[in-house]
Amino acid sequence: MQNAFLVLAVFMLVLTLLVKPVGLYMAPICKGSAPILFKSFDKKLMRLLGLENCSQTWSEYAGSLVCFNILGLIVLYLMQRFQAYLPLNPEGLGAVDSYTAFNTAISFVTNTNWQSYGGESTMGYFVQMAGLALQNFLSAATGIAVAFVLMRSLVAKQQVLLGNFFSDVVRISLYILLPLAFAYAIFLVSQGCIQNFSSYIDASTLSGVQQTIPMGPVASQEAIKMLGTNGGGFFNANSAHPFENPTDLSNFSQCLAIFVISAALCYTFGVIVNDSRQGWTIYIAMAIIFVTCASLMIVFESAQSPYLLDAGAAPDFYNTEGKEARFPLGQSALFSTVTTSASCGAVNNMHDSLNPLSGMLTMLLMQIGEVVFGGVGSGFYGIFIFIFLAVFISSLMIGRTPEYLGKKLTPAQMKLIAIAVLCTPFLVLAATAIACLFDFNLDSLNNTAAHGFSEYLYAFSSAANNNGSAFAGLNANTPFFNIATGLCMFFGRFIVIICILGCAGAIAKQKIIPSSSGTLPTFGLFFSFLIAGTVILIGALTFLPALALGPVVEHIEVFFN
Amino acid sequence: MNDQKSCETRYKKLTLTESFIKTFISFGFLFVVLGVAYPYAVTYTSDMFFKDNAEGSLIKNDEGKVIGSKLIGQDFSFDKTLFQSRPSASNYDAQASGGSNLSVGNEKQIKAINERKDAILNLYHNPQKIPTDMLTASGSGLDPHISAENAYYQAPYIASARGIKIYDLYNLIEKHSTDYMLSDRAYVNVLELNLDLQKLNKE
Repeated sequence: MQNAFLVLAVFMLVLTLLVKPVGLYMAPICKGSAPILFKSFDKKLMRLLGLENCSQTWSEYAGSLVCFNILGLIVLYLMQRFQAYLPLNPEGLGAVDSYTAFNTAISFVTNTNWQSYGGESTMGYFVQMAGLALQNFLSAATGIAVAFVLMRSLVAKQQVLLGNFFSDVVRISLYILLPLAFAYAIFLVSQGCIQNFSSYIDASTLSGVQQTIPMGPVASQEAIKMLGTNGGGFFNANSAHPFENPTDLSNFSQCLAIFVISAALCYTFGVIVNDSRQGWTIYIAMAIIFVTCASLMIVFESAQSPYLLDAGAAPDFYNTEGKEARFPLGQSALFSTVTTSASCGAVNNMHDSLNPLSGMLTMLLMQIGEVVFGGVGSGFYGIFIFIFLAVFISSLMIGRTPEYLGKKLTPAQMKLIAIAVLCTPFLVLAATAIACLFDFNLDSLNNTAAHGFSEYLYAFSSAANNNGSAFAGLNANTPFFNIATGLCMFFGRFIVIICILGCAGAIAKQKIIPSSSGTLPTFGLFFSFLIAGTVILIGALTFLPALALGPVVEHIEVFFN
Repeated sequence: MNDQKSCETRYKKLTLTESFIKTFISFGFLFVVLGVAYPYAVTYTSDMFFKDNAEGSLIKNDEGKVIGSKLIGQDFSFDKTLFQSRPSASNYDAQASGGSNLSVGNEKQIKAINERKDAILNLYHNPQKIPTDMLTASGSGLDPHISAENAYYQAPYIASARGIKIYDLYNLIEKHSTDYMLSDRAYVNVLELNLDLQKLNKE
């Protein structure tokens, strides 16, 4: 167990070291230009695409964002339906059925990457790389763009124009995501990830039985799947598959890749508002929750069930069901915590087989809105929902006008914030309740009783919060789950985004009030704890009853029986 | 204030039609760059530096026939005197990767654990505690590795069944052990270990 904590410590150290350089690199793009290296190229490109010097109001920005994403959705749906006619399909995989294609298209466009299909037996290479992996880039860029708009609005002085969605997305994709993904993909190949367009290989194994080994352009997709916190695996087993995640070093780096952009956005924010303390305060608030949860996860997963111990299992092991031998306790627990803190949803072990309390942690991290570093962009604008709430609540308690960085939080903005904070819990709980109403859903369950309920709850927590991981025993490839999770993903993504953009629009219009002695300082350890406290309080209050019915009951049944 | 105003007038506003056109232009542009050029560029570059890895770390026999991948686990239960891979929910079918997804307290899981325990005790007659990875299925169903403890647990039986000195076998395991990052424990690649084990017998 000490080794597991050592992995966690080294992870936090490396992450913290990466925050500043990556954060600095992203700052010019947030300000609406390109990093120095790409400046002249950017000028030509923007002229070529006709995007120079255009700017939009918040509602135009939101409109363009939705249009762009719906176009992506339609293209991705059609690509799956007409897969048989597309190139690079050596296995001759046929059209994906309409429910699955609908679900998958929404899933990848909303950065969720919930998968009700198995990659190696459903999707051809062209759909994987030009359909699914393309959306990995674009959904990540969309999230970061919204975070950038929010940052700009906080320093804007009585402005209505917030930047241009298209140039933001192009710049974020080309200057942030593409170079990082390219370099990272090559690193992954060096570890053993595959990257080719060959047809599946027939191996005659030692036993004489034929084994058909799937191939494909995996590394290029894997890199952006992590960096863009998408999480949709090339293969069914996702990052547990040896071709996606071949060594423990690749695993460690994948955890870093999931967090790096989200964590660095905190620093970018510090640069934009010209006060790096503000950025670090947010980083520390997130780190407090993350380290607590990761430590608990290590402790919970180090326990073996009484059934294993009765069978004579060696006591110095841990819960190895659903875990790979190359990922020991620390690497597995770290990955599970990271992937559910962020909106990634890749898994390197099967969450369905986690100990009950570990399963509860993964659910809780998603349910609090994935704001602990969170998805790229979405984690940043997500935590701002809680920052505004924290400022609002605490300012009212001490009898001040709530303001953040000289911007007043008006009732109109707080209403939008309230919608954003209530939207996903409502979707999760309502959809779980509806799923429980229909008996035919019982056929989808792989486990029964309390854990069966957890499979529903996990599915909708994951979908509405755009995570995409699953208690994968649940057979979600049914019309009910494909449609229900599809709608949860869509509304969970775009309602929150529109609320945030509306909020940013209103904030940008205000003037900046100079801070006075009566202003609540929004930096420092105290404020970090205030943010973390708000996140935990709201998440716990909303979901405690549901969690008590699932993982808590299961834990008592298994360990105190 | 004047500053701000002049800054805003520098920008032109997009009309609705223009926005639609831009949607298609930027999507088309990014489709080509990120969806097509990027994966090909990665393939080209990785072929230059790590061709073997990019093609799946395949292992071939003397006749050049592919007998598997270093990274994809195989089922060795046809010959109990080879090192055995971990239990697999997909029976080492490489086209159906995945875990058992059974919860900790599921009856099926408890039954599976006890069946595996009986089989292990019957075969190995090893008085030591059983390394847990022998009792549990992996996440991918294609786990190419076992823990070093697992290999050492199997070693005494394999040595006696094959008539090899136990220390030779320990050395072989040692040679194939990879240390975990930041840890003193290790894991072993089963296919590579078994290929060397077969050679050991021939000598």
